[in-house]
Amino acid sequence: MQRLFPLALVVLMGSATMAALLPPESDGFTWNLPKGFPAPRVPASNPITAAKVELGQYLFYDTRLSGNGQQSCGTCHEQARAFTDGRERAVGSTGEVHPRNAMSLANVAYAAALTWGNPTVTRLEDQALVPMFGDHPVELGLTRPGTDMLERLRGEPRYRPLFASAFPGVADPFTLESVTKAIASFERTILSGRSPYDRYRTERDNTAISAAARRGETLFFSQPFSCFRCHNGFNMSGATDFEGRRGPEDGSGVEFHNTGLYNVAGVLSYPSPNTGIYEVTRKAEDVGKFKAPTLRNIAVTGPYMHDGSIATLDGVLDHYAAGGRTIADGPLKGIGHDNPNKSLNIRGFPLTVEQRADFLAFFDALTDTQFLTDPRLSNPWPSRSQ
Amino acid sequence: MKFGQDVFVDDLDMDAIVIRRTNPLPTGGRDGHANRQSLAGTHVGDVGDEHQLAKANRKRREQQVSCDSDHAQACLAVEVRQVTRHHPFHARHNDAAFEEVLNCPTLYTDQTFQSKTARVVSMIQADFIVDGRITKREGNVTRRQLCRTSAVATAFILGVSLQALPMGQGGDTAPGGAITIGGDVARALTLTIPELKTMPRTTVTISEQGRDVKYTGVLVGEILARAGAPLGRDLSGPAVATYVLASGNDGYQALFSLAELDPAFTSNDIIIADTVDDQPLFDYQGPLRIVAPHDKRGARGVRMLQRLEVVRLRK
Repeated sequence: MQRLFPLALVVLMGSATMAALLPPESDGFTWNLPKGFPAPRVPASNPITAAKVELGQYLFYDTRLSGNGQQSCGTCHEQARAFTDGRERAVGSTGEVHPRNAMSLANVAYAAALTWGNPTVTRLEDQALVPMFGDHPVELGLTRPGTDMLERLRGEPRYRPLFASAFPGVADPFTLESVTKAIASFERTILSGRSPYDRYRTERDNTAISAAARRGETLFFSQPFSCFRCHNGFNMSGATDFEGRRGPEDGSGVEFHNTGLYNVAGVLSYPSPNTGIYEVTRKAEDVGKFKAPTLRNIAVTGPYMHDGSIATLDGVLDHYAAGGRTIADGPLKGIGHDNPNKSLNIRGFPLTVEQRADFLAFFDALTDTQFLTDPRLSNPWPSRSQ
Repeated sequence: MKFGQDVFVDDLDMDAIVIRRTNPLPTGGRDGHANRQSLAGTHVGDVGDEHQLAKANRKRREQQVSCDSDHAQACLAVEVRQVTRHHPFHARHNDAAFEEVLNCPTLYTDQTFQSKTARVVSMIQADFIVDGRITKREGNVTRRQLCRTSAVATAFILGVSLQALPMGQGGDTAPGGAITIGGDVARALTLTIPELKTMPRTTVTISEQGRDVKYTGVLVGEILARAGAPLGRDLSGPAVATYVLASGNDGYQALFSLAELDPAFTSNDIIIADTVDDQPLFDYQGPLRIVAPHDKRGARGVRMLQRLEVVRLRK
């Protein structure tokens, strides 16, 4: 989910022209925003509507969007796992193993940069094309220009009114542009902000979380641990974007971090192809720098890190407590603590048994169970599964 | 929760104070690490040789106390050692009253104890201990204040402070809900939240993640004025080269020039806040924090604020 393809760009450029000709989309839509959340920024070229969100929900879970007819977006982004897949690394429709761990889509509407290691992918409409048509690695495994997929969609009776409603006045709404716009609209509604911790913070309900979780919160935001320096704000993540936010909207203000997960021998200190934003910038100092994901629902989104190489949150704490991971043997051998690009925030810290328990209690308090089962985000297909 | 194992207090000529905590601490590192390391008692050698230590140990008069704290998370041992009687500090304080205070066997473990000793502890940590040894004179604490506590009690408070700072820098130890103002001020003082509530209140609104958030508290300048910091007409000449170091109990620190805190000098409206949206601050923020509403970044918004240290660079 890392690359844009020239053809896809051409399609988008062409569709941008088409968008200007489309009638205004204005059917009723109301954000179901958690308390304290700002309104997501929505591209002017794709105003969000209830009809588009509904269509997008069907498309998100539709296996017609894969080359093997068995996978959908929801295959690697399961709602019950906060839209991750429980695997170390995702598996595409051809069986190819993705180099990266499937990111949670919780609050993806606010992500200033969408993928683990590409600062240039900032719009969901663009990103949707990557898993659909990407071949390095193959994810959904569609072939360009997607005509076959569109024909499959056209053959599903349920879609005709959904597309017509989502894109009124368009003679033939079965286009790739419509598909990506609808999926992006649905993804913007994948909002999580009703965890026990949110009740504690926004409702001032001191019974919502345990004393241990409150201690964990204090540790999380304290100077010695400094977790908040990378996982901050209402989304407990790297940079967010939302309506009214000042600053660039092109991802240029997003920070990526090398956490000392690896320090392998050779020119690059991180194992290929997972070299971080270096893949895009080709700057040596960017090797190993990845996005700081949201920590919301983190207790249900393991395995962790950009490549799923740490199985548990306990292990993640060990990694940060050590100031970087040491791998003693094998091809990945190296002392991550000494990675030359390591973030200044990764310094290591002593961690008592009690503090560890407090951290884990705090992470548990970030699980939004309502979000994990909300039917508005679930697979709408009665028989076809993701 | 039990935090205190045993607290050992040596004969107290107070030439060196070395604090050791029993849980492991990393070595080296940036910022607070070096200070934490020294507080962890690993730098005894830089204040005296082994012979001196042995000599001191022969004179040891240990007192052991066990301490409990609701907030404790780590076991600590605090050890105060005499390293040498020839340090200049001792020469200044080798009088009967001082010895009496330092060797007082009484230990208080209640809130009264904490409030009575807050100023003393503040002085000790801020003025005496740098890199694990005493480097400054007694600062602003009075002998009378010192008499209220004991060396054992001081060690206890230091222990409380350090355990509350998992990796802290040994900053201020004002008890929860209080701010201590020390350093180059006419009157070192500690203000509790109830006391802050009686002072002129200022409300500022800042944008946090696209949402306006209202903080209420007291202008830092107002508090510094009470401590006798040079403000208004007095903030001129060499006094302009004065800064204020704000410290949180997690070891975080930020710096302000005195001028930018003086309402007569600037209109920065930098406050010490005790409420957010009319509610007490959250645990991770408070009970007190700095809010600098005109800063473009929030990095100087010291949370869990405990101390303001005024430093005059030119006198």
